[in-house]
Amino acid sequence: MIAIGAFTRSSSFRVGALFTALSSAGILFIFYFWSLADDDKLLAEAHSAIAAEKFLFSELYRSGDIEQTISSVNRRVSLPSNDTLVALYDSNQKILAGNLQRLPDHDATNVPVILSLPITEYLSKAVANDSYLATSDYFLIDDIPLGEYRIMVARSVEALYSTQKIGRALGWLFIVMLVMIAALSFGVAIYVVNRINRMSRTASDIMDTGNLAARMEIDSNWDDLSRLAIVFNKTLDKIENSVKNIKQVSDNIAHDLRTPLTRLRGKLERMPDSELRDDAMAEADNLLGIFNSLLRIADVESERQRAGFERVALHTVVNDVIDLYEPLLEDQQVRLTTNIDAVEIEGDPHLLFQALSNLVDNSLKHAKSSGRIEVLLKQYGNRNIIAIFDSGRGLPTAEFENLDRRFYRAEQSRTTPGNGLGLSMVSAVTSLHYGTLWFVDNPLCETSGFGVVMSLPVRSSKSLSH
Amino acid sequence: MKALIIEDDPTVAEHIRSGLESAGHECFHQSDGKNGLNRALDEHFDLVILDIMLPEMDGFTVLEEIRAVHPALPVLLLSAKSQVDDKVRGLRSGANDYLTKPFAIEELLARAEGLAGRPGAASKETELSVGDLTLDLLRRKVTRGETEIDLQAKEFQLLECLLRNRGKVVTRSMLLERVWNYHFDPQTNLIDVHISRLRQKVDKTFNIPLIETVRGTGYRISEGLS
Repeated sequence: MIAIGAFTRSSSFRVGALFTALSSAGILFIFYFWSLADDDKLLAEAHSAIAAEKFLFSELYRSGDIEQTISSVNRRVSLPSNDTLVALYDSNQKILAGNLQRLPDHDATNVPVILSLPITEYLSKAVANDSYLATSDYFLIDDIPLGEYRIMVARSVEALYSTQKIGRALGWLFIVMLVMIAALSFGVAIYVVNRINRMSRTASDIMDTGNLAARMEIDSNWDDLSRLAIVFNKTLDKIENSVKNIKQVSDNIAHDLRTPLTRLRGKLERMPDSELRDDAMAEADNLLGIFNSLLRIADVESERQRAGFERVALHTVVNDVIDLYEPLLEDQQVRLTTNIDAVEIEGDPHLLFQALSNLVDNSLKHAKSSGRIEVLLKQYGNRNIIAIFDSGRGLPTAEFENLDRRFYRAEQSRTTPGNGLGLSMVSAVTSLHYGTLWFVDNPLCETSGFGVVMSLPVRSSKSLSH
Repeated sequence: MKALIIEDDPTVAEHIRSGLESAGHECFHQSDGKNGLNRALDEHFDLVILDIMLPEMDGFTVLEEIRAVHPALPVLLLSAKSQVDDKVRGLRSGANDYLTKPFAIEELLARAEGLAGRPGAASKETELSVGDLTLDLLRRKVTRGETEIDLQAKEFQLLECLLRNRGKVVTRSMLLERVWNYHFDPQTNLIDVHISRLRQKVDKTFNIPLIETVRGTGYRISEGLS
């Protein structure tokens, strides 16, 4: 998993976070609005209208008599577009005036009442479907005494309530949408950050390993990131091509120079015997050797040789190399210790033999007399480790990264024989077997020393390279 | 020895021809696959030196056609490519030996002479001897005169290889291929060290040296000793 820092520092994550914050602010605003719009505030209008009616009828009753009040009530309910229910009734609940024939159950609170029967059951026949307009059954009802009579006034509040209901529903919808937006933008941020991180990982892999064959994965082709990946891959194609061309050119030079050199050597052979001839032949052979090594390395690097991979008993190869060098080691009084496990891999025995003998050869060249060389072959987890350690003169660690460059010769080894291609070959063979190469300073803990570790995967399948 | 060279590069062909002829061998040259194959089938040769990259018909095809008619005719493959799979493919399809260009002419000569003179039944011998040295292949024992010489496995194989090619030069890379079974070019005088050990055991205490060094090429056990 990627460190959290890498997430929070990315711009897309910040955009996502901003969206989330804005959505949360929106949600909070809605809740605030709801808290303001409670029942009291919503019904204030209806309350005041009822209070006005109550005041009007009680004033009428006080200044006149009941008859006058009855006719006023009846006039009141017969006004066009009336939406108020009024009933004047006596202590026996008998309705004397108004537009109701039956009193709804109510107690004189400020809470809206829902009628238990349809509104038409309550309305008196005279006004039904005529002057009364409201059709709701949701009412705010008030009731006041007028002497021995009572008058009941009711106003429909359904319109107010349904508006509030719609507002509430819209509010929830809005909250759900905001939550979705927040989740979505968070998801997008993570997706984008992950992809960008994958891309940067590929790029840094290419930097670290120099493996120009690696490409970014393109999982879609509609967005700017994929376009970026495509452009990046195209750039890599170009670079890989140029690098290949450069290699090709140098390989061609080696190839083209080899033929005239062979001819030159042929002519030298036909010269009369002399020390000079032998010297010249040795030089020509040396040059030919260099060209051959160069071409061989190029050949190994081209990875065509994987076609010839077979099951190789690595311990046999290692033992054969030791066997071959054993007399030389003895002549130089170098002590050899080995620790070899039986290990098998897919590979090319000849190339592995060449690589290992180059390593032993190097150790021998730099060994001090009565020095020590240690050869290890072990399997650790899913890696096979071949290590060749010596107690030779060693190398400054600063030189390590240059060691597998062609023709590179460290300052210390300029005086020893060699052409600077040995470790390039080892490196090429290691990559051919999907492995990695490490250099170790003073691995035997002597006064100085140098070690090479080849780490080859146990399963070297083609899937590892692509 | 009568050799046929099938090779399209005139310089290389001339190089081989002059090398073989100066060693006293008879040489014929064809520069493309088709004519080369016809000639190889029509006439009798002791050896065919065959390039892989040829016009008209490539070396592998020529080799297969030759093998169909002359299963025992020695064929030495030449290739400009040092690819191991070429080598493996060549040897699998019936080539007797394989050489990568460029090569030293001595290397080619040694291999060509080794191939052309290879006795078919040599492998069935149970004893090899030269002068007063005897190699018992069954009991893996070496005696010189009355003395038994104690040799290590690889030393025995080296001696066996030299003895089987008695009178002919065996190059260092031939020894590596035949004794160690690896195709590769050693950077140092590895083989020389092994030979000098063998010499210490086989030659040192006796008057007549058996293994002679052929300068710039390899080693030989002379036939004249027997």
